[in-house]
Parts: sequence; structure tokens; C-alpha cells
Amino acid sequence: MIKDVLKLVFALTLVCVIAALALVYAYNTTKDAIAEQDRLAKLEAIKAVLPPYDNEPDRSIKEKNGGMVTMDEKEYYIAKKEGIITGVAFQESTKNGYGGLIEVMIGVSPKGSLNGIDIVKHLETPGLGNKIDTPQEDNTFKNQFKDKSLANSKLINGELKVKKDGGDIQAISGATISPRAVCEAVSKGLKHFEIIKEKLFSIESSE
Amino acid sequence: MSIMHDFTKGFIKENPILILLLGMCPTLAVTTSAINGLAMGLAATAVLLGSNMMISTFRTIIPAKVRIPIFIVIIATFVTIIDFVIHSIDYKLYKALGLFIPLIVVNCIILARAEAFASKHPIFRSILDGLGMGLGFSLALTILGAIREILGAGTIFGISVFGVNYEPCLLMILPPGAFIALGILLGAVNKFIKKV
Repeated sequence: MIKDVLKLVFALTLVCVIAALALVYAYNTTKDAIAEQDRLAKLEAIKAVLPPYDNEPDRSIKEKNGGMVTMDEKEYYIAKKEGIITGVAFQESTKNGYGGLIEVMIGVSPKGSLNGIDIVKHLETPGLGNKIDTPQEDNTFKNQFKDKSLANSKLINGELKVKKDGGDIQAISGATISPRAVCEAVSKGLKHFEIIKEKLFSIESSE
Repeated sequence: MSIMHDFTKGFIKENPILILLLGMCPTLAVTTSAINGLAMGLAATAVLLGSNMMISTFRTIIPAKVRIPIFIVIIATFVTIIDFVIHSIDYKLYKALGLFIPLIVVNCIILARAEAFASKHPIFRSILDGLGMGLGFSLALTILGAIREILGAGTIFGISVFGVNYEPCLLMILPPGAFIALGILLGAVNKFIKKV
């Protein structure tokens, strides 16, 4: 009896050990490629919202040509062209999407107007709310944020709003909640940028 | 007859989705577009092939009493490896499929083939069985995805079919559309098979 049980325990343990070894091997072989793919995914979002640059905004500011500053546990990607700051990208999020969390990458010029936005993560309904995240080239929803700022937009309670709520952002037909949430995240980002920009640029210039 | 039959039975006669109605969760959830269905099908085929091969090889030494846990560990290992590989190849594909890859572990087609076929048959036949079943699964998923994509978005594999004036029937790419499309597809397949 006991012998039978031990045999089963041995068989299971053996299988698990072999599986673990196989996974260790697979993890180690793909680790670097996965890190590189993650970097590319992030870089694509950064690139989509920043003006042309010739430095490397996703590498730490301490490295040569780097442009990333970490401040209060938040990462800011600073784009520079010929040594002059042309824009800053950072992430902002909201939990008020139709499917919950929406993470938005926001690109702002040093003066505080938007250069572009990109949706990094969302759980919106396919075919409706997920139109906030169709490819950049023909996404009129995302593109309408270009050049908008807190100074030149119609604000309700100090925030950008969709037309339905009295603002000037065109929503998506059939989906109002998702664009509303994006407006909220973008407004939050713009306000946040006004507060931190001096500190951010002073850190940048001291490096 | 029997060797060829191992491979071809998965296409129509014992198609896991259209006839056996196995693995309904990924079937309904992923098939919002033809490409999603195809990619999910191919990922499941890779896992099925690996797990069938492994389980068939060790079928004589796996103790019958703990065979299910052992099958699950083997399947989960293959799924995790496939997950790593897809993630390391292309982040866009990974973003589209990422959520569904781990679900292959609980896809009952894979466990069903392990239990019903691979644990009782030699390795070569198990490979054919895994390939056939996997391709049958991919085929059904792609057809379902294509139907839903054409009706619900007006495109097929991302290419517009009806021009810009087509107002897509959004219902078809929402969850209820999956049930409606699957039901009609099953009805059509049943009718077709009875005639033959």
C-alpha cells in the first residue's frame, strides 16, 4: 500500500522536475528576446506621441543620449532634437473605462500642448470602445488631441470633455464611455505636467 | 485506412468544435476576427502536437492513477513554452493573443486527445491525431472568425470586403454573435453531414 503511494509520488515528482527544467531552459533562451519585444512595444507608444527626436528617450538619462527621468516612481521620456527638448511622454491611467483600466501614453510639448496620445492598455468592447485604439494613421479619435492644451480647449470643470458633456472632443459613435475615460486621463496628464514640468526640466538639465 | 484516418478524422468527421463540441470557451471568446481564430488554432495545434507526442512516448510508464495530473503538467509546460516563444517573436501578435494563450491549458480538446488517444496509441499515430485534430480546430475557428468578421466589421483578414458604406452588424463581434454564428454553423454542418 505505502509502496504504491510512494511510487505515485515519485512519478509525479519526476514529471514536475523535468517540466521545471524544460521551463528554466525555455525561459533563459527567450528572456532577452522577450525583454527586447517589451522595449519595442513601449518604444512604439513613445514614438507615436512624440515629435521627431534624435536621442533615446527610453534609456535612462544617466546613459549617453538617454532621456528617461524617473521621478516619484513615474517614468518620463524626454525627446530631444539637436540637444533641445521637443517633448515629454509619460503614462497616465484611469479606471473609468467601460472595461475598467485604460492606460494612455501622453506626449506633451515643453509648453504644455499635446503632441499626441496612444492607448497602451485597455479592456474596452471589441468593435465599439476599442476604436479608441485602432492604428494611429487613421484614428481620427486619437489624432484630434494633437495641439490641444488646457489653454486652447473648451474646458468643463477644468477638464477636456467629449461634445456630449459640453467639451470639444468628438466621441465615437456607439461608445461614449471610453472616449470620456480617455479625456479624463489626458486632462489628468496635462494638469500633472503643469505641476511637475519645472522640477522635471531642472533634473534633466542637471544631468 | 486507419493511419490516414487518424489524420483526417479531425477535419470533419470528428471535428472537435463542429461535431464533438469541445473547447467552446476559446471558440466563443477568441473568434472576433479570422486572424485571431487562425492564430489561436495554430497555437493550440502546436501544444496538442507536443503533448500528444510526449504522452504517447511515456504512455507505458505513466501510472494510471495519477495520469490526469501528469497530463496537465505536460500540457501546461508546453503552453508556457509556446507563450514564451510567441512573446519573444512579435509583441503585436502577443498583444492580440496574450490573454488566450494561458487558456489553452484548460482547453478540453487537448486533455481529451491525451486521455482518449495518445495514452493508448503509439507515437506516430498520436502525432497524426494531434495534427489532424489541431488543424480541424484551427479550420473551425478560422471559419467562425471569418463569418463574424465579415458580418461584424465588414472585413476579412483585415481587408475590407463591402467598401466604406457598409454599416457593420456589431452584434456579430460581441459575445452574443459568437453563439449565433456557432449555432448556425453547427446547423449547416449537421445538415451537410447527414446528406453525405
